[in-house]
Amino acid sequence: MVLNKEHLGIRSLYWIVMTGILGLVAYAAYTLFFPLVLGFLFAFLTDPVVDFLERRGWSRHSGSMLLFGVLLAGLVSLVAVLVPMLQKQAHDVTLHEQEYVTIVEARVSQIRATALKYFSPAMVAETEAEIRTTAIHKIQALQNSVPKILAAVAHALGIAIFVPIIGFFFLVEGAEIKKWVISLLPNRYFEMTLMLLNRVNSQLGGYMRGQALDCMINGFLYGLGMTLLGVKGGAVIGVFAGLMNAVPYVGPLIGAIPGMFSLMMDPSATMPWWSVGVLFLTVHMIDNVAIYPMTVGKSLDLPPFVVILGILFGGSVAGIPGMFLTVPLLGMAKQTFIVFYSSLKSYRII
Amino acid sequence: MNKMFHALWSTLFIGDEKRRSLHEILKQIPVFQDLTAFELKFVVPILHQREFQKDELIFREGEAGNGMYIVQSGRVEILGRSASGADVLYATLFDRQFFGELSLVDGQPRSASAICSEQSTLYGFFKPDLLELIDKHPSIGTKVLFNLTTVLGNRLRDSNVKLMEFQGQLVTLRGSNGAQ
Repeated sequence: MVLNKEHLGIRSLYWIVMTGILGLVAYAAYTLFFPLVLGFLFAFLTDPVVDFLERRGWSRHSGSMLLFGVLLAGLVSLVAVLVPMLQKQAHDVTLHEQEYVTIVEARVSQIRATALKYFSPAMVAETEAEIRTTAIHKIQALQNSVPKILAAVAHALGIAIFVPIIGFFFLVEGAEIKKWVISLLPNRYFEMTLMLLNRVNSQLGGYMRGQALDCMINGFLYGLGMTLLGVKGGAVIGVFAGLMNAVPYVGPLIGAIPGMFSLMMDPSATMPWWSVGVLFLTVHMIDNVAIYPMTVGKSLDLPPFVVILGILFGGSVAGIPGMFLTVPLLGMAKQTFIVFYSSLKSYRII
Repeated sequence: MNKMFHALWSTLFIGDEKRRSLHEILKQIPVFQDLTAFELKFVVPILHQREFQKDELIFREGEAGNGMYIVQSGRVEILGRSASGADVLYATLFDRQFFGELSLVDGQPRSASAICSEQSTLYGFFKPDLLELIDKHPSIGTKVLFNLTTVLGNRLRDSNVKLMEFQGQLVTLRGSNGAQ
């Protein structure tokens, strides 16, 4: 093909602009990686709500605006309720500081007395000193890392601002972005990729939304149960436990600890600390038998040893977020592989 | 990279004019012909424009099929295979004609192959998008589906007429063989 000068000029200009854009995109992608991923997940989870509104005659844009308006109103109300509550609790802690110290000392004495029944006084004293030293070191380390914690909080706030903006963009323009990406593919693979994306989207969407619903129902049950057991802040601990439920096997165990600890440290508690354990066991059984099969189903079933290895690996690589993300990622990988393989077969590429 | 250039160029600089010409094309396709300009606004974003080179394969007989193609410009040959394995030309399609519509509803493998016999521009319309259209805009989706059923019904009627003609010819042939 012969290129005239004008054509060549446009192409050169295009490549200069493209190089500049790619550089900016690479830089932005580095800083915006987490907000992008979280924004995408947010859009993925809330997409059915906007679809529902679209079915009722709303445009995609106005449906997304309504969703964000409702979420923002909910967030503002939550902050309006939570801030005075937290202020009151902080004030209470300051008021009853001495009382809490007395409770902790009484509990420590109890544990010491029990330990002395089984171990020598020297061994108990040595262990006590060791625990005391470790605790002091940990507190000092915590005090030293206050600036780091504040920086992390500021970073998290930055992300929290970007995530909804990116989520909104993905919600409104998601279909166009997908179409544009597909338009770049060679003709031979475009129809197959379109079907592949559609199948992966519907199966993973179902899984992730099901998982979110499962966490919400479990969180509600844990919160309700702990409130009935008289656990202080039971509703908030229930939300935490519901979130932890997304991590198979170890999640419910970790979720139960704050509730047990709260009951153990509460002098006015009428129920023993292990009643929280019984509650978690009961809810977990109900979840396994009734809730999980209805919300998530068996589509992404993974062998237990793969799940355990995955959680250990995720935890070692990225801490608690890693533990959260490993199982859904493993499920996504499994599902993508199955769909990809069957698509390649049906399009006679393999 | 050329594809990327084309995609970006067309996204940036080809807007309303392209949409208008696409409306005109769709108005001539039986599946979309009775949709209003407002209704077509919901169909245009779900169509996929593809550029094919001469002799480039669009799909092969026996492959999974999930949608139909509309010829905007160029020429497409629909080929089948005879019992002896040789290619048989079923049809040649030009501007504003379409093919593969059966795959929108039956989900069966492609019954023939399609190859561009010259550089062509096609629009693809696929099953998941049709299902989404039915889900989100039922009145538009129903119109499209009804038109699609009419097209398939007409094709079936034509096939029946041809079958009857062939059967008639077969009976005549058998009769003449018997007389001999």
